[in-house]
Amino acid sequence: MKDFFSSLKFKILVGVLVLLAGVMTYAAANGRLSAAPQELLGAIAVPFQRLSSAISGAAEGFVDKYIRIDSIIEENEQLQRENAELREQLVDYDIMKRENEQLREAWEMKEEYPDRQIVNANVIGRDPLEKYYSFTIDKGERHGVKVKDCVITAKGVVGRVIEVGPNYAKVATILDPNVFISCMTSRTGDIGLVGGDVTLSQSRQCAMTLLPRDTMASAGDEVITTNEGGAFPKGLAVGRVADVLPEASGKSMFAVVDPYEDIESVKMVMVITEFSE
Amino acid sequence: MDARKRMLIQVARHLCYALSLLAAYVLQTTPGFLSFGGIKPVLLVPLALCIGVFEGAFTGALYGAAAGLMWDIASGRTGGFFAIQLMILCFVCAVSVTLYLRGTILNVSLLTGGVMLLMCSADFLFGYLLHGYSGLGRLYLTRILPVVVFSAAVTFAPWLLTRRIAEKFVPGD
Repeated sequence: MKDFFSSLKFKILVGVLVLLAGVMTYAAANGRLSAAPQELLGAIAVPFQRLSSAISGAAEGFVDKYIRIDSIIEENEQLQRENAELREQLVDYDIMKRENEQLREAWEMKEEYPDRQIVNANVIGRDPLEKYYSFTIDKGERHGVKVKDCVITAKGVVGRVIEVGPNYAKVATILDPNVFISCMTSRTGDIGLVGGDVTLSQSRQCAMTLLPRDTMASAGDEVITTNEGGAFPKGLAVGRVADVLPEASGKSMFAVVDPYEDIESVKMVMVITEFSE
Repeated sequence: MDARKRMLIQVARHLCYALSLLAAYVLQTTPGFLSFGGIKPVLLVPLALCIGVFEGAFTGALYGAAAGLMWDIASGRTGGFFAIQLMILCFVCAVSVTLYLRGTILNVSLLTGGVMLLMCSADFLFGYLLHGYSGLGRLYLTRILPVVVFSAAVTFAPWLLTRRIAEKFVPGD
């Protein structure tokens, strides 16, 4: 072992370590890693990620039905037979139906808001260590996606783009404490900031902070975006107020918000790349 | 066996390892793949450790750095954060197996568990604890520890794959 520490190999390892430390310092100072390695890996991996995501989506639906088959048997033998016959067809059908619904909703939105440029995207990557359900989509700079673009589904706001490559983009969800969106409660008009909270994110909820102390907002109120800051179009649905509580400082209130979209398992999203509000 | 053929075998072996890393990256980030209750395993770490066990400390450390960099990119962490840790830990694990341990599935799984625990705890410390968020104890128990255990549990797959590659491409004398 002593020989190893005086060998060329050890010097190479130390060199690599110093290089990585330099990369880390650069990334910490500039907010992100140099674009080259990310874009290279993205260019190589994204086609495979698209493929594996499609296969996984199909398999997930198939396996899920098997997991729940026991309860189905108990509930109704007739339904079980019907399920068995339709299972193979359902795998393809579910995927096509979901895509069809998403595209129809995107089309309706385009007709309703012709000023909005919308890019449809599939979720192709989620990291195991990601606590706020951030994900990677299969559309990037080539498709007009930019950093800070807002990401939605037909149900509501999902998050915003935080990083863009040529053919992919990374999205931070509204469960992330680093995401803040100016919103208001539609009934009372109280304005606050919707963003993530570590505790609430574990129950797939987010927080609407900085509500006035005398807010009349209550459980059941709808939360929608305002155009404050110009990042999000006005009037996008975000979620529904579950509870209104005082902030720790006692100076303002905050609302616990149930997002309309199931952010943990969303598979297709829309990116609004331009709007004129 | 002539030198050219030996070199080709070496190149083929490392090409297989590189493709394995790419496959692990793709599978690790695939939504829903091996996901139970929202918990997914990290595949890059056990694969890098297995390569270190079969190839030795030097090669293991280099593949550890590469796998760590890929994980940095996948998880959106500061570039080099996981790379430096995994490079050092792969080196230490490979040396441990060379000097003290046998490279069995069980030992490598335990090493994976230990390495994952260290790396995830470091990520937890710098990413969450130092920011002073509340409710972190539950997050650590319900999200981080299960990922550590799950990653250690699936180590057998990278171990079998790496052993297969190491045995298939032997340069000979």
